[in-house]
Parts: sequence; C-alpha cells; structure tokens
Amino acid sequence: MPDRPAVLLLDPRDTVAVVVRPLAPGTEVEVLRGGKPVRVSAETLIPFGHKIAVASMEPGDPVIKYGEVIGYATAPIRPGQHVHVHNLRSDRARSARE
Amino acid sequence: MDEILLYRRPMGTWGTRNHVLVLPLVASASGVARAIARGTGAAWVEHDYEPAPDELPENRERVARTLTGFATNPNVAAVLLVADTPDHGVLMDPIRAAGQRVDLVVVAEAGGVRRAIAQGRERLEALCAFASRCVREKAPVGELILGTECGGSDALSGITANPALGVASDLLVDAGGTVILAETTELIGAEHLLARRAATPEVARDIYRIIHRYEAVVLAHGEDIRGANPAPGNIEGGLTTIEEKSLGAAKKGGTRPIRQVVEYAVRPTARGLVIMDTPGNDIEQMVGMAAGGAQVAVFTTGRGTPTGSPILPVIKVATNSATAQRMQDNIDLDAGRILEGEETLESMGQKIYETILAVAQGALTKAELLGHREFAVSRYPFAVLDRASAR
Amino acid sequence: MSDLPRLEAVARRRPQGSLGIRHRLLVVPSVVCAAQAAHGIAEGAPDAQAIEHQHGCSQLGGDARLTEHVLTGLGTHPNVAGTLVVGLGCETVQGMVLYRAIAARGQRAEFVGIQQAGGTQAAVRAGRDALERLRQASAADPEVPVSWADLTVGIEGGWLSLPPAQSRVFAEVLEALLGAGAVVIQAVPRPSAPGLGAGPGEVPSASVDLPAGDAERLVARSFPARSWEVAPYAGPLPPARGFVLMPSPEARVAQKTGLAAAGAHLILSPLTGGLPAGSPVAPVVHVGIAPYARAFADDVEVVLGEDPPPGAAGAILRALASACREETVAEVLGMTEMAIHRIAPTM
Repeated sequence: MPDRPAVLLLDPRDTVAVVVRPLAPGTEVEVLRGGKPVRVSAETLIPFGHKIAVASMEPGDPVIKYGEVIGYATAPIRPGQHVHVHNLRSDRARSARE
Repeated sequence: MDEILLYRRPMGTWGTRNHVLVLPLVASASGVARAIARGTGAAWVEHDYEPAPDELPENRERVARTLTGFATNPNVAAVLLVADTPDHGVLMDPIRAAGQRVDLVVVAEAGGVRRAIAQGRERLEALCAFASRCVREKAPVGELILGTECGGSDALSGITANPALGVASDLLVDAGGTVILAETTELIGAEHLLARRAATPEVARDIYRIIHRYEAVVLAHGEDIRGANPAPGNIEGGLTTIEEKSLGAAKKGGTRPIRQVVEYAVRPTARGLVIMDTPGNDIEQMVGMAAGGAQVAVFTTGRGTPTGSPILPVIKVATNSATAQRMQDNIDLDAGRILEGEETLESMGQKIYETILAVAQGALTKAELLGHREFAVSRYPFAVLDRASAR
Repeated sequence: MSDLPRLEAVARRRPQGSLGIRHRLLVVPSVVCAAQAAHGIAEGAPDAQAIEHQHGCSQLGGDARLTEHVLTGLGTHPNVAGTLVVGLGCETVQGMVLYRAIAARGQRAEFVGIQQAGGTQAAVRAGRDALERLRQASAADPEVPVSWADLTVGIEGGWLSLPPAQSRVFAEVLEALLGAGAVVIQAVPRPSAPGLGAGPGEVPSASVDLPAGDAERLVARSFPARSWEVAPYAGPLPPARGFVLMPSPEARVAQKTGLAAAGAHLILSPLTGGLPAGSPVAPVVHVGIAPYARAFADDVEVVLGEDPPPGAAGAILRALASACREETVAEVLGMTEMAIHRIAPTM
C-alpha cells in the first residue's frame, strides 16, 4: 500500500527536495539521493511546494534542482532547512544581467 | 515496442491520424470553408488572417509557412484550400510540390459564394474518397515527433506533470523519436542551463538568440518578464528563482541533449530533443508544432485547459487530482497520483509514453471526443526589434 | 437627393431603452479556449449565435483591453436579446470581468466557467440552461415600430476610393440617412499602426486626433458641408447623434467588427475585393462593386455598375430597409465572421 510521500526529489543530483505535504518542525523525511537514502529533519515549518535542503551548502555553493543550478546559496544551509528567498539567490535575475 | 501502426504519406512522413482538412487561406474565406466542411466529417479551421497591403514580408512568410506546414502535416491525408481570389491561392503550389494531395476552390472564379460551396463539396468528396483508401502500416517509433506544451500552469506543473512528461520525452528520444520543446517566453531565465545541454556550439548560440530575442520583444512593449519573475504568487507557492520557474517548464522536454533550434512552424531536420521558437499563446504554439510536423502532443495543465487541435491528438495531463476529477471530460491522465503515492515520476512517465504510443495508433483523446479544434495564425512578433535596430 | 423608402419594420425595445432589429442570443467565449464550448452551447439553437475569435490567451495589456472592449461592445449590442459569456478561468480577458462589464451596462447576461463547471460537457449543459433563461426573460421585450431616426448605420471605408460615378452613389445614401436623423458611423481605414492613435498598451480614447490622411480627405470631399465627430475603434460613440468617423484597421472583417461593437444596427459593405462576410450581431448589406463583384451577383443585395443609373442610391436604401425586416444574404448563408484587431503579438 503506497504511502503519500511528503517530499519529492526530482533528480538524484538535487540538493533540495520539494515539499508536497506541509512539514511541521521536527518532521523527518527520507529521499533517495544518488541511490543512497538520505534522512533529514525539517528545522522549521516548510509549506507545500517549498524546498527542503537534503545536502549541506556553503555561501556561494550552487543549489541544484531538476539536476540543474537554480541559483546560489547566500548563507550556510544545513540539511533540513527551508531553502527560499532568504538563503537562495538567482544567478540570472534582472539586476545581475549585463 | 519498436514498431507502431501509422499512415504512410507520399512526403516520406508518417501520420497518426487520417484527416481531410478544409483550410481557408484568408479570414474572409472561413465562412465558405465551414459551409463546405459542415456535416462531412472533414476537419476545418477558421482564423483571422487577412493579408493587408502594408503587410511586412516577414509576416507574410511566417503565415505562409504556417499554413503550408499545417496543410502538409502527416496527419492530413488530403487538403482542400479555399481562397477568395486567385492571387490568394498561391500556396497551392508549394503544398502540391511537397507531395500533398491538395485541391483549391477560388470563390471569385467559382462564380460567388453559393457556387463555391457547391464546387467545394464536390472536390471535398473526391478527397475524402482518396483518404478512405489510406491504411496504417508498420512504422518505426522513431518516426514520431511529439509536441509538448503546458497551459493553465500551477505550482504543481513543475513538480508532477512536467517532470513526468520529461520521463516520457526521454523514452521517446531514446527510441529514436523527436520531442519539440517550445514556448520561448517560458524558458527565459534558463537559457544558460539549456545551452549547456546543446549538442553543438551553434545550437547553444541559437538557444541564447531566440530567448534573448523574445525577452527583447516583451521589453519593447514595456513589460519586464525577467524582473517580474517569479511573481508574488509564484514566490508564495515556493518558487524562488526565475531559473527554477523556467526549468519547471523546460522539464517537459526531458534531459537529453538539445539537437536543434528551429523557428516557428519550421520542421526540425534533426531527431531527438529540439526547441522551437513559439509564443506562449497555447493555440499558436500547438499550431506551430503541428506545422513543424508533430503528429501527437502532450499538454500538461494545472487549472484545466480544454484546448485541442483540428489535426493532432492532444493528450491532456493534469498536474493534480482535483483538476483531473473536476474536468474528467477533458483530462486523459492524472499526474496528481504522484502526490498520492499511487505513481512515481518514473511510473507516471512510463504511463504517458504508453499513452502516446496508443494514441498514435488510433486511441482517441478526450479533446478529440469533444471535438476541440482550436486554431490561430501567429503573427511575426519581431517587427518592433527590426524597427529599433533600423534607427 | 434620394427619397428614403419607408422602413415598415418593427424592433424590440431592450431593458436599457435601445431598439434592436434582431432578437438574437449571443454566446461569447472570453478566450479562444472557450470557443468550442460556446459553439456546443449555440449549436442546435437557431436563435443563438456563438462568436469565434482567436484571442484572450497570453495577450499583453493593450491587446487584452482591446479584446475586452470589442467583446463588451458586441455583448451589449441592441440587436442582442441576451448574452452568455463563456470563460475558462485562467485567461487574461477574465470571463467574469467581461460578464460584469456587459451586465453593468444593463444587458441581460449570464456566465458559465468551464473550469468551475467541470469541463466542456458540463459547461455546454449549463450554457444551454442559461440560454433558456435568457430566452424566457427576453420574450417580454416589446415590439415597437422603428424609424430611420432610431437607427445607427455603419459603413465600411471601401467606397471612399471608388471612381466618382460610384462613390457619388454612396455619398447620396449617407446624406439621405443623415437627413432622416440616423447616426452614421463611417469606418476610416488606416494602415496598421499600434493602438490606432493611442500609444501601445492604451485603449484608444474618445479624443483621438484624426490627422488628415487620404481617407479623411475623401470624406471631406464627399461631404463638404458636413461636420463630424470622431469615435475610437469599437466605440464608444459621442453622445450627439450625427456623422461619426471611426479609425479602423484596413481589413474589412475588422472594420465590420469595429462598427458592430460601436453599436451599428446595420452595416453597409461595399464589396471591392475579397469575399462577402457577415458579422455576428449586425446584419450586413453588401453592395457589389463592378467590375470586381459581378462574380458575386448572387451573394450581394445590390450590384453597383461602373455607370450607375439615377435610382442606384434608392436601391441601396431599399436594401437597408429590407434588412430591418428580413435576413440578408450573408445571414442566410450563415456568414458571421469576426476579427479583433491585434495591437501587439501575443506572448
């Protein structure tokens, strides 16, 4: 009997997973990353459709979703943290264009 | 499954359907086209294109190749063109030269509207008799060109339906087929990521060129796509960067290398994943892909867009189960099952692929059952840029 | 100067007070994706007419506003007994917005949303119920006698560049109409320019300036003693009744749509090229211009020869009067084309 997943990892190389069931702080989730199970715990409330880190990232590190770089970390990111506008910036936003 | 049953066409292409099409070459002939086709089982379209004396040659050319490509799509066994005057019937020649079975009614030469309708019905009958003799034969799966599209997108489009469609796209490309990724405006922000997957440096340059070109057009009309993206609603829904949003759209095309970039309504010459420059308008995009030779399409939708095509079977994939339930008359597949744990991305993608093959061989889509036949002629969008650079 | 034939026709008085010479139910898809459902709703109902157009999705600001402006004009036309707006749910020209704009002008109106209803078939069922409600409600619109002074006649610009022998006839027709107190809207074709006098993204305003172009000079030459006002494409008309010029795209289908959306009860269409075409809400009276239109003698109301006799204007006026009483050739043939002029490409 399949369980309703709480998060979806869209590509094995991704450093973030997409939350498909709102996660209360402390909720544990598991994803298969590169074939290996990775277990993380939501640090704060993470709403539906938002991202949860499944790997550590340092400021300046690429954030990977869909197997591609969707931007760069602007702060240290721990697994289980909410990844959004407060710690992820675009590489190709208007202000960054030449 | 390496072989499927398709209709062989004299142009060397293969069709998933066997339509006879009545096509008005100018807007004012739409009424006559409708009157000719009514009640006969022939497909027909209406549109609003009327050549104007001051029309740009680029627009004339874009429209001509759209109508020609549409009329010679492999799903069309034969086409009856309707023109008002002889000079508007000139597309007959390139369509015939392409090997298509074609006939023409020129209203002024027929002796007026009523006589043209009678003449048209006679000629249509002959074309239908020809089409009824066409049968399906074994063809390689690789002969399929799949059009991909998303409309009425929501937050889940990039999470369920588009990635699942991407799995199906990869399966088709690996089987030797072609997948068209389009809707250039939706790719803005991801151009460098797509260019990295280009098979050659020329393809990479073309990717940048068409995306920056569309962005310039939108800017020239006073709207800032990149600056306004993601929109507040998107951010609330969890999208953080424009790359993320555009990648969600691009996911429909899967992960394989990008072999070619083609202009609107141009047939790709490469196999595999290709990008076609199209506007975001749903109908124009579908018409462009049909004119480029697509014989089947998958259309992902969040809120539930019912549109189809007069000549392509369009498979509707809902991003969420609520829409799939509420609009079950219009939706073929429910990617929301991924959220329920009833499917994985991979299993859903496999299901989409199997549906593509079944539909290609004759299974009807909901859009076909309901008679959806949306059609629109796309205009040349880059005049504003040509004017700016001419100054 | 021609004698105006007697109209001898009746019109229906609408709740808003306007008079209509047809009594049709209009089904308006607010976006092209709703056209199929609109078509299904109107099918089989001889008193209902669905509009087909290619607009509504992915339109930039000015275009979306123009589409809404035209659809609102058509939806509130006095020839229309009731309007059903069919929307999808996600489009730029929101179905609900269009419905409210039409209802706000006092028109009998209903709304069906495809996504809300639950798909195409559910929307068709709901739409047919809505049409029945509109039908019942509009049955009470009283029949009243109508005179020329109650009418607004739209005329396409094709006659302005005809040789004097033929253009003179049209000038005579217009003078007769104006003399009888009818409002005459003259479409003035302009080469495609964004916004037709307004900037990109702006709805054309009533204060549009008409710099003297060829068409304007021809109008002035034909009517040396007349003054006129200018209305933006698809209306609204200025409050004073009289001679109105309306800048318009050159395509004749677009001219008809603009005239109808501005409220023309009847449209006079000189056929100098292309095909006869109708309009969803206003009957079109075609005058075939020789030599071109000789091939269309069966499809037009009047053929105007190269050397028209003195009674030619009278024949055209009689055709206009007939159109108030019975169907025109275009209506019999079911020709009801529509074109909404695009300002910008879609996105």
